[in-house]
Amino acid sequence: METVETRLIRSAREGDTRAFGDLIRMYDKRTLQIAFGITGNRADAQDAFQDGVVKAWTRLHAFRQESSFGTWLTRIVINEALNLRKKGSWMHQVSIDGPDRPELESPHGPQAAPDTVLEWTQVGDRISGSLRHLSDRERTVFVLKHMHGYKLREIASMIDCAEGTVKNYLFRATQKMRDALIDLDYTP
Amino acid sequence: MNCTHPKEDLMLLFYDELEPARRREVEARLESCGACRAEWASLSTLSGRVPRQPLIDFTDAELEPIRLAMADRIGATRQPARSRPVLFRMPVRQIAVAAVIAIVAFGLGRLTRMPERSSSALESARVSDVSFDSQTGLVQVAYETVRPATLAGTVDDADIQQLLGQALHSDSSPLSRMRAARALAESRIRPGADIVSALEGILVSDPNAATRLQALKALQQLHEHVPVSGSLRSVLLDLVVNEPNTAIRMRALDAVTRSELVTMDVAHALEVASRDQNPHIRRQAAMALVDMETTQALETLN
Repeated sequence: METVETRLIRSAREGDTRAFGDLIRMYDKRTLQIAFGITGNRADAQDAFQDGVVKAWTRLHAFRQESSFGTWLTRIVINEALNLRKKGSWMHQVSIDGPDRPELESPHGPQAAPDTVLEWTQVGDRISGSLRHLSDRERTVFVLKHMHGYKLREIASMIDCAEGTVKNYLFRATQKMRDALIDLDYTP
Repeated sequence: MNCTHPKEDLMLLFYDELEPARRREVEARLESCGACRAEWASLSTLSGRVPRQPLIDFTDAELEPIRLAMADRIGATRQPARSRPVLFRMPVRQIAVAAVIAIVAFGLGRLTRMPERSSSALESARVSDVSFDSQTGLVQVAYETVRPATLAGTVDDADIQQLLGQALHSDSSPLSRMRAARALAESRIRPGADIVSALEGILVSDPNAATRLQALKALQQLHEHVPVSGSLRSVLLDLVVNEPNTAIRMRALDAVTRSELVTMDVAHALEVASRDQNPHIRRQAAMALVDMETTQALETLN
């Protein structure tokens, strides 16, 4: 029996933009969250997401349905996010760890209550700051595993790496995150 | 506490990525090993410090304008027409490559002699030392299963390869990892996929630069006459951009520029390398960039 997703893919391949919009709607929130985890700011996350979606639209005929559409879309958006970071580091040559890095945005949005922002600035900024010490690939793997709970084999497929390599990235990332946050208060 | 248990297992347990049997083993180890318990406790605090949820939330109110903007962009972008019917879009090249691999693997399988020792016993071996004589190509691996033992032979021996694989995974002995990688780098044989994957792992995460360098040499030797895999290619590009050790960056750049795959990724790595602190790397990258631009210009003319 044809699933909703398969039906939407079929219609979208025939040029139905509304079907494609419905398809994207199923995954847009999660994909944007992942892009934010990689880029570290909303504007870049949205750019990566939008460029990724346009790419998915123009390449839909090449999607062979060997993975779910969500995995395929996530893979494209991750590539866009990583490319954006590379372009950014080319254009600006600003250290992401340096004092002149763009202000980190609150995960609670620009309208968040000041006390929420303060709390996030104290704790969340440390977390995001630590994420910035990871290489792009370490951070991508850490975000996908630790924050989104993907299986290692799914991550391997998303970033086009061997599963063993993903394990290594994750191991290095967890070690670095642990070391970076060792003095952060923690109550189990 | 002198714990030699692999720490990676604890991370895999933490992220629920172990097979049931392995999981039971690691849980039993946690009961008996204080150092592993301390490592586990430290890992557990990571969940408290970094929540297991996305860093940010997008509300429907925030998503709606993004969706509208997307709809506009999609509406203005045409899908390319299909060039061929689906029926004829067979993955011909992939099938051909798979067939060649199968034939070569079959041939190698026939040529490789059967191991004289029990390979299953070696699976649980813990390697304590590796020595390698580059003159004779002889490798000697000291290991423990139930009791300590030593095995000597050349890298084309299946058991030696298995033990070298274990040595590459060894958390406790950087010297063994380095010597195992060197033995593989200097041999002229093509080891199994597990070893290739372990070498890639070392390249990505080994803290010791000498070991990473030997692993890179081994992988370069392996890919002398075969194309670099997508996974290794990603690792090489990452090294060109992020590796702190100059010798490794230099070799990685060399491997990348020898590869015929010229993409935006390579262009980025070359751009970064053209600003490297090392003059040789800068020159090599600049020459590769010129080559790449010339090739692209010629392709455009054609």
